[in-house]
Amino acid sequence: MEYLIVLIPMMPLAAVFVTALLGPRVLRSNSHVPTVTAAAVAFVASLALLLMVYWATAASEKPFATTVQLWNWADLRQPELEGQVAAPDAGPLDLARFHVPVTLRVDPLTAVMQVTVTCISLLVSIYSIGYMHDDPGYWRYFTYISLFIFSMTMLVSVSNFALLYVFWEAVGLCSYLLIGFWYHKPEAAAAGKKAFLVNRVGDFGFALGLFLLWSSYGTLNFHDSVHPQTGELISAGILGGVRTAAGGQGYLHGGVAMAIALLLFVGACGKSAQFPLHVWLPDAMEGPTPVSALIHAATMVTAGVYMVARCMPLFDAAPGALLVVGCIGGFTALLAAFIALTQNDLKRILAYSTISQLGYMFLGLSVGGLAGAVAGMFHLFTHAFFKALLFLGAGSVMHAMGGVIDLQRIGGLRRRLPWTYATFLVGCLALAGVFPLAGFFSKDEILGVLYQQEGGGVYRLLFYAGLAGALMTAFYTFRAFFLAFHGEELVPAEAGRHAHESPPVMLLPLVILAVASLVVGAIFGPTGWFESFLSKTPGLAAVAEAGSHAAPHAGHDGHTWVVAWSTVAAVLGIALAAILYLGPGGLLRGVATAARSVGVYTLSYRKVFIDELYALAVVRPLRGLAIVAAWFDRYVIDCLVDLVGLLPKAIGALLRDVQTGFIPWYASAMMLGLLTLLAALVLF
Amino acid sequence: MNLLHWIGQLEGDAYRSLRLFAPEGLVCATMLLLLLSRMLLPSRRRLPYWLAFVGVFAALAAAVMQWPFFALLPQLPHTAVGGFTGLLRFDTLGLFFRILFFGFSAVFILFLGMTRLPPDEDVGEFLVLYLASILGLCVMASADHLLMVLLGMEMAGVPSYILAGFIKSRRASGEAAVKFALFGAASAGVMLYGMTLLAGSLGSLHLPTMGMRLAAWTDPSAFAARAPVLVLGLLMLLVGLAFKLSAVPFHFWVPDVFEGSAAEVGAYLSTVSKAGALILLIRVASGLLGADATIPRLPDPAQFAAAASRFDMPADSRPVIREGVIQAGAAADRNGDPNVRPVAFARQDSTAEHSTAEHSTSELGSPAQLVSRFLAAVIAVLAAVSCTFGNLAAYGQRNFKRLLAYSTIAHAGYMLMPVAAAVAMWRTQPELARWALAASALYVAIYLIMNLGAFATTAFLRDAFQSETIDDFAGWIRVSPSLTVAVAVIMFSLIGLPPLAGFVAKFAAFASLTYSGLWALLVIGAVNTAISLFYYLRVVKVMVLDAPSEAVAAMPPMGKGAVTFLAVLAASLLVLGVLWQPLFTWAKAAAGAL
Repeated sequence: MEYLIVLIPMMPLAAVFVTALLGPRVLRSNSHVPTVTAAAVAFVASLALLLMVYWATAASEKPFATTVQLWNWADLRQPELEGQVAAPDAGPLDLARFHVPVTLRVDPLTAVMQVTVTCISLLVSIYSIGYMHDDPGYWRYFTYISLFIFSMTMLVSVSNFALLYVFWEAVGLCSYLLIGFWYHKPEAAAAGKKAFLVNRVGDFGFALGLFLLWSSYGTLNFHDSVHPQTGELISAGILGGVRTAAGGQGYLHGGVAMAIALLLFVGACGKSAQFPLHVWLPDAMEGPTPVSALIHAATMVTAGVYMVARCMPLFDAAPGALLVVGCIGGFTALLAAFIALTQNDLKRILAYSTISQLGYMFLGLSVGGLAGAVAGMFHLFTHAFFKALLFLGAGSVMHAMGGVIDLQRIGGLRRRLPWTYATFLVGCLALAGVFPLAGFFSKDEILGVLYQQEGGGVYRLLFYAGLAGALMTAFYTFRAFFLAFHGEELVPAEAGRHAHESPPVMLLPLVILAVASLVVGAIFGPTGWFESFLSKTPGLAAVAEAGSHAAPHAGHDGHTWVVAWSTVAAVLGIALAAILYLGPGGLLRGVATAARSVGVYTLSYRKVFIDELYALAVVRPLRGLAIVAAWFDRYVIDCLVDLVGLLPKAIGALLRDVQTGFIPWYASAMMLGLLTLLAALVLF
Repeated sequence: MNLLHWIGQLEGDAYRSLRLFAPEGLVCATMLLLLLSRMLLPSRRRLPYWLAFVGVFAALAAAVMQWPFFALLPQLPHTAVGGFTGLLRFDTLGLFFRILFFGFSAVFILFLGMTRLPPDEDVGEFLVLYLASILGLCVMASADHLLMVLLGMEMAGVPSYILAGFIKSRRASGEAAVKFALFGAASAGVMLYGMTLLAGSLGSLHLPTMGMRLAAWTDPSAFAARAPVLVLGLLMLLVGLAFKLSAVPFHFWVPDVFEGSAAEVGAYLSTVSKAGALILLIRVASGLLGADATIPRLPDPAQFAAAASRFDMPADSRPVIREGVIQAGAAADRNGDPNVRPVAFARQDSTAEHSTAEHSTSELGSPAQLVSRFLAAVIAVLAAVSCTFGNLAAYGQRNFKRLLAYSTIAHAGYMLMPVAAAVAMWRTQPELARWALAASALYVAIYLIMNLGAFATTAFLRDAFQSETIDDFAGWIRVSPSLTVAVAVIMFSLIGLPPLAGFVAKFAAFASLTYSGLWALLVIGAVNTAISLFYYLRVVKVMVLDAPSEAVAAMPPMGKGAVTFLAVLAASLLVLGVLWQPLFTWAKAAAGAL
């Protein structure tokens, strides 16, 4: 197990080096080989890891986790402190306790994430072979992808907040590089920059959260460190067994806990594109479509969800923060779904749908405890499959249409792209949450836990928001589906002779993902496997025992009611879309005119004017500040610097009559310096 | 004790010391061989490179092999660390720096072989001068006596003045050499005067003896009477060290000399030469303050025998200098007769003084404590001023070498910070002081790599462009992408961005500041790091983003050797940034000997 968890990230890391070094000259059009091989090995290894963890957990009731320490990145502990029990009263700013071990952990949560990440990565990199062929940056693309897989697998397996932050930034870097992959396109470069800058805001919060964690808990480790020989406890990790076993006593409460949870959540908002930091994700669609599928739909953007699930004990200590998580999640889910209703760019619709689904995940998490974590993580798990499927399907359409993805210019493609059509339909049904596809079970789980939460009226409200979101989701999904694949056949001129089904290397991942979207929900959801498996994660196991939030999963009262309502919402949404977009054109025009007349349409089409709002409220003032700063730099700083640089010369010029006159000045300056030091000494 | 016995012991000491001095002996032999090869085989142009490389590598290997024995030394009676009757001190910290010097030299000679300077016919001379300078640095790394301090500085300094003027055809080069030599002479003069003051007030030139005397001054009135002389002497001594370290305000020679002399010489002056000054500063400070060094334990006999057998040294015939001669000197000193006051060559084994030293440290505000605070304050001020001035002045530079010269000054400031922390904590928290010294050793080790890379870049670009102006490098990435990436990595590391080694170096250095409570220095360091971002990044920006001039666009790509060299340096910076604990553990072990 220890070898496997190291092997999984090391394979893509090796691929990075191989591709970067050999890609441009040697591998050329075979640059995908290292990445695909690495992803395949990593996937097999994570499957093996999952099975091993499963066997280990199935045997006992106790939570399961092991850690592997690779090396100590930093160890500022003084010699006498090394390997000793830290004094409990050691101050928080005591650097003598600072150490950052590079430790990987194996537990059910990590195992699930590893399998999800490596599986999608493998399929997407196979797909990319077809999608990216002939691109001049072929080797560069696969280098970045490998780097991403490495960073992401590390992100989900590290056992230390400092390293979590490192890889949090690393996946952000990969995202930036891949959004701006076609950097000669100005929109792509701008989108990359936007993503990077918006993420900075979130990361700043995250960093502050880490500082606060360090100063309140005195460690950044997830796990407990014990003395290697004596087994004595050295320090209790933040999410380690000692603290979690103590239940509520193990954690701070009140304002500090609230601040920690909220700051961490700010980080999650940035990475997982939650309101108000969601604006970067739609623009990120400028990158290659497989990248959108891998990074901006299935894996990286879910890092925030993973992080909140991982830190559930910290959030449980601050119920108020959980409520904030729920409200932001619910609002984002509704807002993004609302915007997606009228967009014409297929990828953009999917991007907003991703934001909305991420909102759902946070809605689930907001319930707190094991139930919340399971609901959020389960949706993350199923969503990864069907959203990757949808994006890759969109990529397949784009590939055939010569890069055109505007729904007004394409249509009726079901005959030209039969495989894409069929698999896309599966993805749409899953996203809409139709029984028995993956999305049905996971969305139902979220709505179920929300409905049962006794936290008060707010959660009931959030439940209705989720329901409304489900309706809109079904509608916009099928609107896009009908516009693209049904109706009159419309093929743009750019398509040329390309307007045919994609090559098998692209279809294979689509089919696999479609099958997965069909079955994963049914296999893992109702059977309770997912929940019982995740409940063996140390942090989550403890909150389950604490039982403050979690209601037993079995015996949901009113569960049938929830199922009925969510199904009704999905079917209603699909039916509406069908009526409007497959039915007589007059009806659509009527509805559209009506919506326009009250301004709802424009509001949705223009993305609720959030970008404009930011331009007005943030970008303009900043630009003004930049102008002031530039002025300050040019006229004040530069002058100062010039002065510093010129000072010796100027005085030298005053003093010298011959050219060698420099040296006496320098020498006298030296003496002057000595005298200054002396004078300072006398004065103080 | 008769004279014969004493001579016998002296002989034994010299024999033993020479063994410990073997790496330097190898360097000396290499120098001789180089000179001979110039006479006998003048046509073999590449031969000097190989000779020097093999010689330095042999010295490196010898030094590394000495490590296990040196690591045992602290466990021996403390006379064992003294060499040549106490003139030199053989401990792991010195060895750490010597290993750095030899290792750096090996890489540096490889690098010299790749550039077009020095002209092939003068390579032999260049290398001899370089090695002579390294020899001086090694003496500095082990100096335990003020005479050795001076000797080492001059041995390192004089050859470097010649190196600075090595391009005889260039007027700027000659001017640089003259300036450098004049400054060197002036600062050496000041330093020498400071030494006489110190020797006069403490009655010895042997640093540990001076430290013991200092600690033994328990009478406040006596101390107050002699304090001004002591302080003046210390300050003047520091002038010489600050000159070598290029700390403000003793830095004026740096930009002119760096600009005037070849980049290769700059690569030497800005790296190991400064490392030598730093270790010398540590030596002086630790000698003066280290009177209460922990009483050494007796070695495990089996361990010692094993280590001794490696060095072919009978374990029971360790020469121990008795106090006979020195007692006479000390007695004369106490009589107060200035004419017979001898310079003590040997470490004094005076238990009486030792016990009073321990006694006096318990009092707050003992003389040693005051000296420690004073030294820490001066070093901290030097660090803060150098750092700020260097960074501000680098901001507006157009010439790459001048920019690096100011960056060197700034880095001297960063390097001094942990030393200030160490000196401040020396008397109160010796463990933490050693930790801080380890941080500064780590900083030096990493800095050597970074700055060699930066100056090597200048040299390679100069060979390609015949220009050293930053703006001429515009668009270089289109010509030589891998070289540009390597240069960018080196620049990022000089700023101190994670995950590169430069970050780690700053991290450890700043951490030591927090231990000692020098918060103001920490803030200054952090602000300066932000300032430095600008000018380092501008180099990268010019190379990557700016449109190439026609001359650049028409250039052939860089040679494979240069690219590989810089890429290896950059890669090592990345690896050290991720995996620096082993190096730091080594540095901690080295500093533990003090």
